[in-house]
Amino acid sequence: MFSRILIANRGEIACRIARTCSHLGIEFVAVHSTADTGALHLEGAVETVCIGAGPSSESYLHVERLIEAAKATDCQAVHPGYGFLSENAPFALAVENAGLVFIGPRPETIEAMGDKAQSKAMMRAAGVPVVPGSDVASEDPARLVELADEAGFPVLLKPTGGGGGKGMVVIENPADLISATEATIRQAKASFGDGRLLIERFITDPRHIEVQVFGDSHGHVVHLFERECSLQRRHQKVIEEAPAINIPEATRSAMREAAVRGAEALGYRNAGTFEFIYSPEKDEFFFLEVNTRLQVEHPVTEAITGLDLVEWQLRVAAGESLPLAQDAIVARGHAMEARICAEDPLHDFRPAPGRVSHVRWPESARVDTGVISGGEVPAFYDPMIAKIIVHAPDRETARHSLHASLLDTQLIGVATNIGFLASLLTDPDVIAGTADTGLIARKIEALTANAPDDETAAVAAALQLVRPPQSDARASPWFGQQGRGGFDREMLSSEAQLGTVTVLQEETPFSVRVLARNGDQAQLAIGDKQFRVQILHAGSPSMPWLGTINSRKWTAAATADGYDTQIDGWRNVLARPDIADDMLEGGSGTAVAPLPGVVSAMLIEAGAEVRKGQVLVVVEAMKMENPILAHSDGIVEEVFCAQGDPVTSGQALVRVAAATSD
Amino acid sequence: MSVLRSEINPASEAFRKNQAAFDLQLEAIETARREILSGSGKKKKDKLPVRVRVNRLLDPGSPFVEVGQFGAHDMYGGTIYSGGIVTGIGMVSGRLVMVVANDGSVKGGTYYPITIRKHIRAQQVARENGLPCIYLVDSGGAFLPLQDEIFPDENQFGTIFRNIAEMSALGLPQIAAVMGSCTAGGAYIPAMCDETVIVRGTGTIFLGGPQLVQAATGAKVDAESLGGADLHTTQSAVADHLAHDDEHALRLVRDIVARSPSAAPAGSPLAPEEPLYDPAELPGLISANPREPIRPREILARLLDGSRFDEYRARWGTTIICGTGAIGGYPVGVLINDGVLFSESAQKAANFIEICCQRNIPLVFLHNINGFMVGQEYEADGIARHGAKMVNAVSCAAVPKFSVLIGGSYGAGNFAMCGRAFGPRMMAMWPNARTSVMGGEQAAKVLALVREAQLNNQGEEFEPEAQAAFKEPILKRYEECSHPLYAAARMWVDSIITPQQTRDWLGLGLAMAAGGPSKETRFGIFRI
Repeated sequence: MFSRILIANRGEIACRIARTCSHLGIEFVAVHSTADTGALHLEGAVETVCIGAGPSSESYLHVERLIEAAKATDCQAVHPGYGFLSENAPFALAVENAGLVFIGPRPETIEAMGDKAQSKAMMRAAGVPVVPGSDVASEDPARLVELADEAGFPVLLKPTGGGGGKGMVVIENPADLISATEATIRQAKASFGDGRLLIERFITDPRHIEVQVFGDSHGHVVHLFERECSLQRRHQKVIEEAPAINIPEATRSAMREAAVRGAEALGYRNAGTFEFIYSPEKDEFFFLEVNTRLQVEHPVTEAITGLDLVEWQLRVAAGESLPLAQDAIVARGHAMEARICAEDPLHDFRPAPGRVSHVRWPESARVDTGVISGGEVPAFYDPMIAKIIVHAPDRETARHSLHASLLDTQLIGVATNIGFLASLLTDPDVIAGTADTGLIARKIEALTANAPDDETAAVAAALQLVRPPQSDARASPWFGQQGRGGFDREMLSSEAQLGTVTVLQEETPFSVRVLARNGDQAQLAIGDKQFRVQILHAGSPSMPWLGTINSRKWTAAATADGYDTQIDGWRNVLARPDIADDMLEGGSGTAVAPLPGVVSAMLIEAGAEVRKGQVLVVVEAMKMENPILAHSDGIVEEVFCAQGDPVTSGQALVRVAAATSD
Repeated sequence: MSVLRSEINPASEAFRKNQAAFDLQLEAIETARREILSGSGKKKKDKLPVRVRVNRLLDPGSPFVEVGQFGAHDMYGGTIYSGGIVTGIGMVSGRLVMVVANDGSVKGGTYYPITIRKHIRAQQVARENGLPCIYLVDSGGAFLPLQDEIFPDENQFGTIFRNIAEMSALGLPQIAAVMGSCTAGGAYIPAMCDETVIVRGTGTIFLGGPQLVQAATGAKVDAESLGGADLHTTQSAVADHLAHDDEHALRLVRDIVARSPSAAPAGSPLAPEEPLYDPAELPGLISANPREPIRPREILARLLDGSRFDEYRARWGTTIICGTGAIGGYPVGVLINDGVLFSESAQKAANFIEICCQRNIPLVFLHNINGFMVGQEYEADGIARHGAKMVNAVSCAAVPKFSVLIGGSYGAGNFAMCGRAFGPRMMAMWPNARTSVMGGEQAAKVLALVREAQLNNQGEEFEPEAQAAFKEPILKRYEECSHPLYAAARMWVDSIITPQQTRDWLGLGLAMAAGGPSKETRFGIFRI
């Protein structure tokens, strides 16, 4: 076994590999970019090496620096994790050429499986069912039309250079084929520098099921059962589970056997995944591709088998035989995993990098993460920050457990998909286990509809109810802590007996009425909706506020200008409606001379676009140069003076029309 | 400390009768209140109604104690709701403040005599309790037809400005938000204050409005150019902060208070406790017939923390009950009547007040008093001298004093129990309470006797029917003028509160006073 390895990755997977290393007594060296200085994945390393700047190409994708780091720190092997260089054959080769062990398949396997057309041909030869379609990529539209006819409609156009579903196009109608093919070729050329396309039958409403395989250098291959990964958004997996359900036993066995057969044909070494698409309608499956690495979703397989796949990877890479024979590997119960991403489901899932001011993961689940409270989610890398994995005797219990774990997660500072994932777990098709890969796209509106807007506004309002320095029983009754509390206050307003709090969510004001209050409980209303808010834990600069609203849990932190809240996994940022004085000046955009003097410089002309604070004119007076600034962003409407003009105090110099914040 | 035990049965016939009689008294008050609340604070263009302004100013979730809500009720034709000004105590940015807010929708927020009385009363409460003052100004100045009753004398318009200057000198922040017109006299409020906010578009400040300027000089000028927000924040510096609407102005005021040095209210010295008996039972203890006594210990059992009461000299001078307890965690010395005052009762009360002053315990007076005992025997015993001792003690006691009229409060009894003239920090009446120099019955009887003597001198008889006809208008007039609405309209009391609210009202008052300045008591000569 190795005594020291280099982990050529970051984030949760680097942490995951490190954990097994520690368990096995293997020292590890961690690498990081300048954007990851101080990141969690560096903890416990015997040495850490900075391999370059934030962009991946400067660091985690930089082959020479990684190999240099491994050699300089006397590592015997390199674990690539997933993503980055994990399926990069030249990297695997370079590692081997440097006299180190690459913890993964042979470089030639990686290369072969990286070419979709080649991998498909090899699998067909090995007797693995493949989707009807072309073996050879082409960028000749006429040839592609012939191939489409052979495969049968609907067809899928797949650029050979693309990965993870990028650049794929479905064509339902033969009439659209030529124009769509030409457009796809153009786009593939532009995106990947390779215009060649593969064409194949498009399987309607398919499920994505994959088989985990493992091989060693002694010719043994086993499977570790399958995973169901149909819940995908734009071809990115979101929730995975093992084993797959709602699939006939015979088909399931056939799929496992096909994967083993394919792996044997490749002489497969180390961990690999055979991805299939499964048509529930016709009960048939087809080979999609082989992922020549450890998968993100490997923990669900670990959960049902009780095995440590990273340990297996290390053992196999060190030349050992597979720890268990096929018949000794058993699956137990049902496991599910949710991928937590720093992204904003309410804004088309755009990545949401930033500082995680507070995070508390559920204690009842396995959590693989690379983020801690106060940690950064850099903008350079994948937005996935954690995986929550649950294991239960049956699927329904696992689903409930995962749902509860998601809602139990406190995460403040960046938007996440936690609320979306929780919604997804309560979708009827997900409950029934009949989801296909198109489910999220079809139901996206419903899945994001329960984002709590009013509730977060109510929580922010509750935080603004004044509290005594110590909320003890002896607090002054003027804090309204005791009993009815409001006294004559209800005579000021019959609708807001204890006042109104206004908070802004983006530009929308929410007027929250305080109806009643008793200690740390408040009855609030927005429009005709009423909320009972309870504060369970008062926050501090280092800890968030915790509580419930109509029995739903919330987490919130005060920020410089408002509140950062999370309810049922949805994050909302609210601002206090403080209007800065300079906003008022927008109404009167005329810049005037503050004292008598002479215009010594004109820095703008009519029609110019100016920014707030920009110098418009310089007035020289008392031997001093006085810059006259724009009060707001806007357009210079009119100039009332010229260089050399004497001006009096209060004289208008320039009028700026404030930019409207459309 | 001993615990008071109640002997009242809330299921009894008498209790139900009492409750029903009280409900009638309360209904008269609530009817008047509804009229005031619906009549005042009408929404005008770009301006929030006055009560909404106050509500938005105060910290959400915190209480408000209004002072003089019934001011000017049924006076000046009956439409000067709350006297055209909302005043009261509340929390702003975690600090206790006095709010004085003109109601621009009531006769342009002009000052009637009662408006002045309320304004000055609010300033007095602020000064005594060390509260910053916030003036939400929206007033056309003096109500000119009544200028003779509001302008020239002390405790009239000028006192408002003098108070602002003196309180500023005491270090109590004086903050104005100009949220409407501030004309003539009104203009001096923002001008006198430490710091002033003005709302663009609605706020104006000028000594003479456009009409007056035109009358005086012939010049035509619009209000905005004469004294608008832009003028006052860019040229005159009469105002310090520009607000773009009411809400913004109130936020700016909250910010100003937040950076003032006064501290947040401290907690109570003791942990508050609920009484053992429900204060909601209090109305059932008030005798439907005002001639029947109210049992004072039953009242105390429902007002004091844990119903605990340490009675002072319980076996002597028994027509006044004195003792210590706590309300909402604040220790208090309580005086409550149990019949007319005799020499012993007055001496005991004077002694008790002296003890409370020595120990710095605030005093609570619960009035249910017809007056001092009369008769040859009592005059000979020097009841005037003994009564004077109690009045002396009440006058000079510098600890915070609170007065609540729970029944009748008549004649010198009112004085001895810390009536308005004796400086209670706050004073309230229950809906069933009455106050006048003597009871209507006694007044009618006295006047009838005088009349009878006159008739007898002329050799005429005062027939029973004639007597009844003679007494009837006197009784009616006394009933009207001793009523809580009549008293509250004239600011003889700050509030009309229900028995159930009394603990909260006192608790808030005690907490307010606890944060205010303290003074050492020095008594006058006691005639021993």
